[in-house]
Amino acid sequence: MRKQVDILCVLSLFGAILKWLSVPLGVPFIYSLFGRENPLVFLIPVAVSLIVGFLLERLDTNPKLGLRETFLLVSLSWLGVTLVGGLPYLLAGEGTVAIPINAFFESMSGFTTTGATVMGSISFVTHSPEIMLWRQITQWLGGMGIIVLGIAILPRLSIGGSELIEAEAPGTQFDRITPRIVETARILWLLYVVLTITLGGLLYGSHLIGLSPEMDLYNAVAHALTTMPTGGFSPEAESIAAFSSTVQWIIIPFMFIAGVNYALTWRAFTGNPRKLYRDTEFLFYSFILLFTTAIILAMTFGNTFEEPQNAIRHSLFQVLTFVTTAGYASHDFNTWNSMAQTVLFMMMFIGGCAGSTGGGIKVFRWIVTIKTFFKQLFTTIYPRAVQSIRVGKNVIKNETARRVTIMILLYIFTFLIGALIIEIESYRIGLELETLEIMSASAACIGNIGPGFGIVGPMNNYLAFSSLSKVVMIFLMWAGRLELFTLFVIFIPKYWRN
Amino acid sequence: MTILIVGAGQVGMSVMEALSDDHEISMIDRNASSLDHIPFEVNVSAGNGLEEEVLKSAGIEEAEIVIATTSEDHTNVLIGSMAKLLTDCFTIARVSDPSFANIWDTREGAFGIDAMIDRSKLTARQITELLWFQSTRQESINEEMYCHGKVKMSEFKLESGSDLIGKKIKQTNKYSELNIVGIFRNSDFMLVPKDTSFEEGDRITVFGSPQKVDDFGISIASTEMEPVQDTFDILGGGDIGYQTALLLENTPLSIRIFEEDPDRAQFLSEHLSQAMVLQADITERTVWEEENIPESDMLLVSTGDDATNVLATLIGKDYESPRVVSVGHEHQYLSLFESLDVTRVVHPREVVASSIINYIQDSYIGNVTELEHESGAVFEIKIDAESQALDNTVEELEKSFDQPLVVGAMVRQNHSIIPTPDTSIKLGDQLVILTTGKAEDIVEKL
Repeated sequence: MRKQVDILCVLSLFGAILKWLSVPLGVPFIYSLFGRENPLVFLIPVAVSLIVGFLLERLDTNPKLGLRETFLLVSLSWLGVTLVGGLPYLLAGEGTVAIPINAFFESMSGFTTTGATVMGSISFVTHSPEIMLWRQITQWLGGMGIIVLGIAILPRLSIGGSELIEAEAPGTQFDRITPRIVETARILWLLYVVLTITLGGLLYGSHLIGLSPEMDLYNAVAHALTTMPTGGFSPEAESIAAFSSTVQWIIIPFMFIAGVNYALTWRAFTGNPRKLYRDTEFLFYSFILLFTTAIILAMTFGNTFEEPQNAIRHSLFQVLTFVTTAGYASHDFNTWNSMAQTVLFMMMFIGGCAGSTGGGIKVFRWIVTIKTFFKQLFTTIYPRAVQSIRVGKNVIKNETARRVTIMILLYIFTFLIGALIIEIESYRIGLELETLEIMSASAACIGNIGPGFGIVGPMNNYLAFSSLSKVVMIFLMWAGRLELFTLFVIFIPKYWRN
Repeated sequence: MTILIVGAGQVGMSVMEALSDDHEISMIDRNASSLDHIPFEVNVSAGNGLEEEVLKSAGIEEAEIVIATTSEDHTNVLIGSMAKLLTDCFTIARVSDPSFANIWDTREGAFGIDAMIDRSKLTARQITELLWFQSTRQESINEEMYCHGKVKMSEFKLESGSDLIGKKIKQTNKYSELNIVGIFRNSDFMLVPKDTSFEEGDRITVFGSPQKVDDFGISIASTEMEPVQDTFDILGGGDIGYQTALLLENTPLSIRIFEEDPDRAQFLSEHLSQAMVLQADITERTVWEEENIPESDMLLVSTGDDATNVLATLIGKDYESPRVVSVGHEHQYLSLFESLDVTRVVHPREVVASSIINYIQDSYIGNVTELEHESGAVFEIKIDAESQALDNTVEELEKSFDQPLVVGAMVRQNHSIIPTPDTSIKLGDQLVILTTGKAEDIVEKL
């Protein structure tokens, strides 16, 4: 009988993941051979990931992954990959990200597809195009990790009721966890790659026909890499606001797709589009987007925006970017009125659909919570009534509904604690901030969104905060990405005991 | 015919009594004393019906029909399979757990059983039939069952206000699982007039599975008719109560189920999407008063316990509930239930027994129904290897006769299907045919 968590097994499997990090690191390395960055900036991390990866892999020749080990493996992988992935920022030694805590922050923001930045100046004057490309790639890799996490791992761990998604995932014919993950991941990664290439092609195409002069090949690749994972990094300081309206219109549907359950998108693309309008979560997600866009439109049309086309585009874009947790900006929403800002702030707590690359609470958890709420009201009037919650055709077990509501409570609680610490720390270092700014910083980190309001607005950055605040934010990004429970269980002493 | 009945309980005895005059019957029961009162002409053997020796000594090798009706589902299913191994007979098994029937329904001849009699589903169907005439279903004026209850033919009269009036048959594709075969208009019968529009007062003849035909009755009901919001309370959420609620899922009835066991109540709430489930003890008067059970238009008392059922029925009588249907399980209390003077008493074992008896009697009598004014006939026919219709399409079959005929429905592998003109006819299919000519001529040719 196994008594404890099999750490050697976890380290060995982590090593197997880490050594593969050398492949994407090779991309900016090859680029740097012809560019301006010193190739060593990428060669050293390549060597580190290969050597450490292979060494760790040797620790256990026959690793057997159990339920307990999975929690540690997932949490450790995100952390370890982030640490190695942050090396290029340190080695390049340019700008604010050359400081260790900032490099760690930038890397975690990348791999969790958050999009919060501590780059003091986002420009090719300070940073080489190679480093900026690597920054985009980290988000794209994070997105691949999330697909596996959301579709194949979290359902198995029943995190916050995510076992519901499993029925949708392709490759369900496999029973054992490993081949199933491999098969599912392969299918959905293919979809992810195809969508990324399509977006990149469209963006560059719009440049070639003269509709978007700024969207050159470099920018087309860079933005394709951060849209599908709902990342939000951009090599442009002004984010998507730096581009023409055509670019913004192209990105809108791709952000929308990125916020949908990838398994559902896959089913819709492989000949069953009717699945879409039978899916309660998809319908509710679409409803929230349209409804909120209409509200924002009503609030901004006539004051912030005079032209209807601009008002519609920016309202839709900004609602999408907050709900899907992409974190792009098509306009500096810090200049919008406070009503619109409040609505956008509320949208930070919705999140994409379960099984998408979006972060946050996730639409289906809200559906379950709303239904639980009405069930509670009903049973208050009819104490003898026994009611089941249904989402579409699925019956939600009481236990699942309970896990979902607890997950939301824990999420709100963690967000508030995070905001409190940031508040106290900011006061300590003499940074005077408004409540909305602090709240939005915490919400943007735990929800993997990126920009918030005021000091952390879309044209600003997270540089002003103290190191302790940044550590808290790194933790919030990490925890939010792993849907809290996956990370929190490994902090329980009992996890490590028999 | 030689018939072997395993299990001399209430069902076995009823079946034996009904069939012993015309057929040669053997009976097996584990308990020798329960075989004491069986008449001489029936062969009896005491023993375990699962043992080959016992089955052989009771003459299973000569039996044409084997009926497994012991008190245990597993035993009945196994006996059916055993019988199939030993001899080429028609096997009938009785079950009370719907899970067996659910498997059997979707897989032809599963477990080697030719006919599975599901106690709870059958009883539920009978209960819903008792209830129908109070709801908004368009009453059928005439109905017949074919192919062992897999195909139903119903005749509906179109009242003013029905959605169907003014439409043509070919426009009614939303009823794809139904076959509208003909119209009676002013006592003239027309076969599939695809280009004729429906008129008020038409009587239309429809074929399909019983469920689909009943649903059709609901959907064509006049929209001018005020939908009666009948309330229906089911007291006891066992198999019978559950199956009844399941059958009434898509009706305008407002249903509540009362169940005392919390786990069962949870199960019901997860599996029924419309009925409201309440966890309560129905023998408590406070429950009746607080939940307004006496106000309900209809009551079904259906727990698994006769004593509880009698008590609940008496409480219902006391509150003067307008319509009470009670389920009585044990034969010995049946007269007691009847003395309660309720609307109806349903006796599941009797339902099962009569269903088995019908099965045996139907199997060998060609069911021919004459339409009124001798305007036509409906009959069923099984396609054997010599039939000239074999491997033809339905269209070819319909055109190969001088007399007009329509294949209304067919049963293949235990499922009723609605044929299209290019459905090909296969060995073993059962066809239900409607003709305006002479049925005998067609049967002869086929």
